[in-house]
Amino acid sequence: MEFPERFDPMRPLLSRVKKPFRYIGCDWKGSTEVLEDKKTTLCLAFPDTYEVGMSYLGFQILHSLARRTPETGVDRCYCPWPDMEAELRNASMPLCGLDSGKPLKNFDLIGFTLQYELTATNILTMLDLAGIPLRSAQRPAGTPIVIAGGPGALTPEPLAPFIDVFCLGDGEILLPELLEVCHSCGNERKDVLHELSRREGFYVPSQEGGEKGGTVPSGPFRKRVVKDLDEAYIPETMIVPASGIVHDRAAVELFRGCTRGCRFCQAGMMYRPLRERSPGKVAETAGKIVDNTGWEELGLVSLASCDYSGLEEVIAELEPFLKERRVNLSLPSLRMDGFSVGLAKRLRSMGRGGLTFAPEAGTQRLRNVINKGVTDEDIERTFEEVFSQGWERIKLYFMMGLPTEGDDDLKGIIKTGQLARRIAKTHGRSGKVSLSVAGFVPKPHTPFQWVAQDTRQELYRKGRSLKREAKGNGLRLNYHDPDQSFLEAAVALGGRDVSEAIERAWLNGARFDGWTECFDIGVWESAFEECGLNPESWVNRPRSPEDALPWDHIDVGILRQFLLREWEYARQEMTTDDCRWGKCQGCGWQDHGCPLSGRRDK
Amino acid sequence: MIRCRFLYAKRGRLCFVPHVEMPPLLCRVFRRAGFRLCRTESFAPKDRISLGPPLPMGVAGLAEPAEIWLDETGLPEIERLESFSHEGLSFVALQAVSEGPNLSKACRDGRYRVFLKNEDLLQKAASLLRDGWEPARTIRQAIVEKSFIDLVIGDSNQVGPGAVVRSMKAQQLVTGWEDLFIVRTAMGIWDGKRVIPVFEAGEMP
Repeated sequence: MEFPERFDPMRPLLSRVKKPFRYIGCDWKGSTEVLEDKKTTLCLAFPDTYEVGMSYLGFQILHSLARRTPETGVDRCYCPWPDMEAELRNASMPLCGLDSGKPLKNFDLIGFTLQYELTATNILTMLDLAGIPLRSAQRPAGTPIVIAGGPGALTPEPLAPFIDVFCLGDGEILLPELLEVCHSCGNERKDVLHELSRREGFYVPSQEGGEKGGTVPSGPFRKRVVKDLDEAYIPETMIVPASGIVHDRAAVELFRGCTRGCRFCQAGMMYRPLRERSPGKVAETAGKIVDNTGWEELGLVSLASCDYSGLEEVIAELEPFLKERRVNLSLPSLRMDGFSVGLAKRLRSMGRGGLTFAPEAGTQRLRNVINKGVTDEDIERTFEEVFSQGWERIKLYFMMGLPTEGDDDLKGIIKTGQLARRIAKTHGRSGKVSLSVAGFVPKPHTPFQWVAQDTRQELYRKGRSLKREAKGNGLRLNYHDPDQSFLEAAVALGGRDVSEAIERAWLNGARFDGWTECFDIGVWESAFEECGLNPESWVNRPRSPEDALPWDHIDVGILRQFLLREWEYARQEMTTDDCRWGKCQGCGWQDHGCPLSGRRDK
Repeated sequence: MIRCRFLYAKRGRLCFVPHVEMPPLLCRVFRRAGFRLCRTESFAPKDRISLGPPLPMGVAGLAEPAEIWLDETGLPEIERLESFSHEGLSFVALQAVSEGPNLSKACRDGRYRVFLKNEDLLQKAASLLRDGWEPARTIRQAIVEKSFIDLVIGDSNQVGPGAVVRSMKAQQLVTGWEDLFIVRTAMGIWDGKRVIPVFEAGEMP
């Protein structure tokens, strides 16, 4: 009997690394097509581990969409963990597509998904392992065209020197157009970049100038969106992993965008306008995905799934089908109200270990500042509901360092935890309460984009104080590493000059900066210093509305006046209603195809 | 309900999937192929499946035993399951089991084929074996062939290829897992002459 796997050149490497299953590519429905005879080949690249990348629905949609695009061959790749990076370097082996084994440098296009600021150095790792010059300016004709999409593409400057083309907006409409341009230009780098720079939704930094020191191109470069989700491409199957991933389930997107208007939330602003998929389409797609993937759990996902207007209808339609298939249904984000808890109870599979909510701030005053839309009464009622329904545990997410925050607001975090414990006891529950506190990071394209982040010292002080208080009150509390929150802000709020520090930090060994076991702020401090940059100068100081911002040239559809008004309301502790249920708040989309405006007009 | 006992092969790079990840992977294959799975009756119900002794990451398996409970009246066809399988996974045999011992009792001993890096190392291993070296404490049989060693290891739930690799390291035959390739060729009961597989259809050459 023959065992060809004995001679697999990857075998010794796989035998030595900690999690070899990240690199084996034995997933169900992973592409096995021959790439060589395709007009254009695309490798979708996720700059984080396999388990994280495989959990991201957008990546699955793009992979499926590219596969059905004529003349296009597609593969995928995730960032190797440092142990595998070292193995590949020692063996002088290039980074390859997971399914085809084809070296990345032999693809026509490499498409990065930009989900999180702290994956920046992983992009450089992947390019370098692939043998692709890190900087766009150093890439000769014939080198793969490096594209990037996702939310990070809407704040592109820190990565601008490394990326050839940023795709601004929804991939369902941008990817087919990009591939068509590549086909028609014969994948010629110069021609493709030139052609894309003339089209809306694409930002090609090399064609626009932009100088070191933060000066940015004029623009505006406008985001493009799918107007009707029912008309947009939606896959009927997904790649099913051969081993466990972070969100190990089938998923269908209920809606895109969010109108709740939380003032700290970048996704809530950038993914507008709100577009709901019809309940019929959701149910039909969910049925096919469940049958085609074999997953034992189906997630109905979006930024706030409980807000979906067709939720009852979809659940009613899916419940008998899922029961018959023995498939669990889950909603990834729960609102703080009785309806959500009741729903969790009804779905059974949700919150087996406890339920998770995000009050975000400890007092009503501060929740008004951030426009969270959750009242003290909502919180109390939710706790009552949770513990009366039989749950023993609850996890609550908060932020520290929010604008206008005072000591009372921090104490409010502990008080909220105590309230949960008290209510649990009245229902005879053990009442294990976990509090998770993240440092607030001001994000571009939000009303808080002009706000200074608390200094690291201040965040450490607050975190330690909260932890001490929590311990004394029988609560479990963890707070995010303030150094990581600081770096996240430094990259998020940075201009093109931050790219120098990213490259320097990467050269100095920065990898997987979003992972605490890899993160080393010292490497970054040295990198900023070597580049002559002082990140405190843009992270810990407020920006004036008159200041030019490094993302001003990117038009995500939200009016500056709206953001300024929201910032003013925040200072006055005034809330803004969710326009889904009330009047239009004039965010900017009302004149550009907001489906809610249309609904109101009718 | 049908209790379906089956043997599957885990080959290629799939052998780097941890044993603990195999139940969901296998259940999803059955579900994709259109079969309804029975669930456990616990607070958090799960698909009802049970696997034979663990196979370490990197070790291939030719006839790995498992049982799955289906809410069906007939057995699945192997061809149908295979058309919904992951690369590297194939189904060797299936049978309905009405009664009898649970899987772990029927999987006491395992037969392994061990390939070393080169012939010199194989000869060295042969010489060590002749001198009484035991690659693991429950070795039932060790036969050196032209290009590999066939080992039968008892007490498979406790002793596995890991012990063999450690012992080989100590004998300086290998530096680690990367220097050898191991295949589990059968699981069952050692009768003094051969490992009687969980069911005969699954006996491999």
